[in-house]
Amino acid sequence: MSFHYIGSLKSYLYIPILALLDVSVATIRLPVVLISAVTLVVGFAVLRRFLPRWTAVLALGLMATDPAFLFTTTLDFGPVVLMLLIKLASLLLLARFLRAPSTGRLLAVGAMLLIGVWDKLNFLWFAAALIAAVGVVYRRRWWPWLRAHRGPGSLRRCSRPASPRSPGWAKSLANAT
Amino acid sequence: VRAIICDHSQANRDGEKLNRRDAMTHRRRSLLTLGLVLALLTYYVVSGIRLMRLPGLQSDELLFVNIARGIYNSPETHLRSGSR
Repeated sequence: MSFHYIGSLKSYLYIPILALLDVSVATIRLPVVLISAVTLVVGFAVLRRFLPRWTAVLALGLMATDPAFLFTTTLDFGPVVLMLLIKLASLLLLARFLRAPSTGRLLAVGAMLLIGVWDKLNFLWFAAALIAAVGVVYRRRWWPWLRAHRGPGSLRRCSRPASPRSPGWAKSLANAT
Repeated sequence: VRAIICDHSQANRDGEKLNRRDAMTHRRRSLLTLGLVLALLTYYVVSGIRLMRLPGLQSDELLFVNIARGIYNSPETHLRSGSR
């Protein structure tokens, strides 16, 4: 860990860059600027799921021209760059899951939240708030799917002996997705 | 019967025209949105590159660099990160 609550995800990302190029202002700051550009794209994709087209474009404009966003992401002050990207990516994956729930999509949300916690331990605040909010507000979206998966049919599928050629969990995961 | 067929074919032609017009409008809007998004992203990246030239690296930045280079235990890292 780099700090007491910050993991080494960013350092792992920089290993190949610094193996190829020398340490300089450009090699340290340009990658975070480009990662933040990806963050803006992911943010726009999230906004488009909840807002009309021109409102989402306006929000993207405000984000891209916000001096606070520009300054903190260029210098990765915080560090916030990976945290923002993972937050918005987990929101996008969550929106996909809520639109059409499946095991694969749920696993993707969980994996993204775990990467976020590994990047920075205080990501737990966001993860806990997200889980609580989805549990309360979007209950109608995920509860029928969960209940269908817990029905007697799915129990029979789970208790069926696995084929020797393909593992049972792989089959059920493929069926669910 | 012929009049009814003519009416139907006219209605179909009108519907096709409307659909084509809707598709054109949709495509134009999509292209405009894509253009605006790309322009905003370009503005952000160019501004970031201009701001990038600020002299001096932060202690956080150096710390991550040192860890990526495998020199976590260097005295410089500990001094700059403020830890012992």
